[in-house]
Amino acid sequence: MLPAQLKTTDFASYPPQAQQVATAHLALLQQLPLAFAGILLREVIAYDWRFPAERRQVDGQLTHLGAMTATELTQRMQGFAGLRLNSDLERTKWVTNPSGFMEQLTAWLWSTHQMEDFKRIADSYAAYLSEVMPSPPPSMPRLGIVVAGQGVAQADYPLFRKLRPQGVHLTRVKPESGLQILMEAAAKRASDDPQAARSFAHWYIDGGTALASSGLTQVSYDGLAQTRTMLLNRTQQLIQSGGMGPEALRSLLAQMKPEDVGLVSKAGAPPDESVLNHFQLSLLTEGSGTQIFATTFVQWAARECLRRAQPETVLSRYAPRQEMQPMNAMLSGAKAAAPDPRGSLVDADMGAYYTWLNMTRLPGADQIRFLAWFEGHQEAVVIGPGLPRGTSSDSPMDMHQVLKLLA
Amino acid sequence: MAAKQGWDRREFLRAAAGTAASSAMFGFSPLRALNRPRGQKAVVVTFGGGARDEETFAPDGQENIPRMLTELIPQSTFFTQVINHGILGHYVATASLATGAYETLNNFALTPPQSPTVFEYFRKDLKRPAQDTWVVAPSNGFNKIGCSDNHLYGPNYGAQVLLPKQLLTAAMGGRSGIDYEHLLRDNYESPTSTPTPQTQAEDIHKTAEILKLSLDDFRSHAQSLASPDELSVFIARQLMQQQAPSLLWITLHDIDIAHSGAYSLYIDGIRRSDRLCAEIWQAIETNPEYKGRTTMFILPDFGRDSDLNPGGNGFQHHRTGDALSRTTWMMVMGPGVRQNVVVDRPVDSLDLVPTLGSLLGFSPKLAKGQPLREVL
Repeated sequence: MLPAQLKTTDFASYPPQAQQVATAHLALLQQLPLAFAGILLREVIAYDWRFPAERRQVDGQLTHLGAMTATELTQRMQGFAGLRLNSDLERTKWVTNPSGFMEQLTAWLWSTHQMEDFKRIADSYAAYLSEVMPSPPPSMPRLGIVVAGQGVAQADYPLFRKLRPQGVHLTRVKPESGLQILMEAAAKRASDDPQAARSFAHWYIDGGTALASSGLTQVSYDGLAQTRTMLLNRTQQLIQSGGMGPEALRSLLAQMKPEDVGLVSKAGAPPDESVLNHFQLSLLTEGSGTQIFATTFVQWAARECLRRAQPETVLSRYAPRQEMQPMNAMLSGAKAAAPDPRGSLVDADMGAYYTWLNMTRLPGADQIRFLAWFEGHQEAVVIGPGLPRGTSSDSPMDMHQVLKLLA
Repeated sequence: MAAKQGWDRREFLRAAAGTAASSAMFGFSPLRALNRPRGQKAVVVTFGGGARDEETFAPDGQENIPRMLTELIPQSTFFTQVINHGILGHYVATASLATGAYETLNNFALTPPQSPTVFEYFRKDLKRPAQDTWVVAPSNGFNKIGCSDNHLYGPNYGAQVLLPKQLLTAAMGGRSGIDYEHLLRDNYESPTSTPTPQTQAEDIHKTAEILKLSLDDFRSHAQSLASPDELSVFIARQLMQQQAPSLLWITLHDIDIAHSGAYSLYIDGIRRSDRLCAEIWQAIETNPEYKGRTTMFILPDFGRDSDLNPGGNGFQHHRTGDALSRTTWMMVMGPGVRQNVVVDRPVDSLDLVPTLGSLLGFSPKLAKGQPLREVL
């Protein structure tokens, strides 16, 4: 089937809001080239589970393209329309399973050496969208906090090497009550924001057991222990059933629902809970290594929440991951190996850098406040407007004073 | 971007190892013809899982590759820009390196390359026996890399493929693998590990016989090894001792643990690979069958994603197809190869097979790419 043949009944299996969106823009969808239509429908079909920032992007894009004349639209879609596709792709269930379509499209583009062209076209389109419908700036300057090194008595590794050139390296932070102060600071930002509860604007991600927090959207590795076990068991079943290549496995995982792995919204829970459940499931089904390593989980969760929810506060706390075991054992849900705090500190150090990089990709990048702290120790780095880059300070200061540097 | 990366590598090397730019030193008249040793051999080492400059040649990364910087690069001609224009999956990319043509096969399927491999050209043109060319590969998915399904070549001219894990699995003979499981990791690109290909017991014993290795000794030694790549290098050394193949291809993949997202494990993999490459060269230099007549090529199959590409997740994958993930390096060392020299011009991954052809004296008729004149 080609986009021109689309009918409203083709969206019958879509969740309610997605169905409404697709139906409302049927005339536009019918005019799109197949490759682009599949990509767009992958966003639309998940509309009910998307964060507000993502919905805004989908709505804006559909409205913008829908307002174009036929000539303008053809011109804008020229690159996508010029990709050489095959008839197998037309025969896929690209409307009801756009993720599966994307897997096949990707394989086709690689095998026909069109991937570079596709990336160029997609980058150009993304740049165009950013120009015509820029994301709104945050209501307050974004704050990123990364707490690394839980359980490490002494670092034998030069920490924050990649972050230090961006800000001030602090070497005499008083660690007492540091974590508590940071948690309170994040919670205060949430309580000061009247839209916080509905907008997924303030996050707390923990690689171990989450601490009590108020007003923050919370995700933790331990909190998803049951889900991870169920997911790994399901993965094993699929692998053992035979004939399951990685693409097919990925497609099947992508179609899982939160309730399949124990993420059930309580009766009467607000829709936000369902959105969060879908997000948590995606961390485990789309992330690589998030199911087995707590450090990877935190880094990926921070990346995805920044990319998708565009929050104003993110506090990420790393906890020790398990030591390396044979991959088959880890994926089969075997008992976790002993923790590796030292290796985890190295992972977290890189993860902190990646979190800062991901923050710089969002609107308001020039106003970012960022803190990475070696938990329980005196070492930290702070980055923010007015803070001199590539400098260090050995002035003693407690965590309140550190935060004041970022005020 | 690729050119900048190549320039960066040259500057890093100049600072670290005092290497010289090639064009300043030589006009590249073909030196090898003057002193090509009799019984020329070649050892190719590829990494299935590239390492980025940040973790290797850049100032902060140099601590991870001390053996390459101090022992290997000073003896080698180093190409700073080796560009892979093909599919960035490890099996298909390694198959492309081995055929000299960009393969389009399914990266995760047990299928042979479409174009003839370097092993087939070598054996057919030079009328070499099967035991004269071997592949030691880490992943069960590489089972079919020894020969293509091209009707002019094919299995009669292919390499012997040795999958150490297959050997170890068979050697365990149904016993508990608890002591060996760390050596049985398969590829890291996918959660679905490729099943171990079925092997007859007699084949295993034949392989053990070829390696002059009792299965008990093998089991015992395997227990002392830390990773699949160490197992591969152990097997490769046995092969060199017992069979002295003229064309030996070793594929390492410990670095690809990066796909798990654990940066420290990725760094551990780089350090181990650095050590193992030096050990392979040592094995060449201390083996009379190889010393003075062997050219070694070391190259990653491709790179990894840049930290700065928002489409990727930095070191973890090689999915963006950006310049960093496509541009890698190669070092070549051995008799007649200029030492401590850097070549800045961009070359193609496919140039490896024609270069091996010129070096060993066979004609890779269907391969693309050009012989690298700087090492011939």
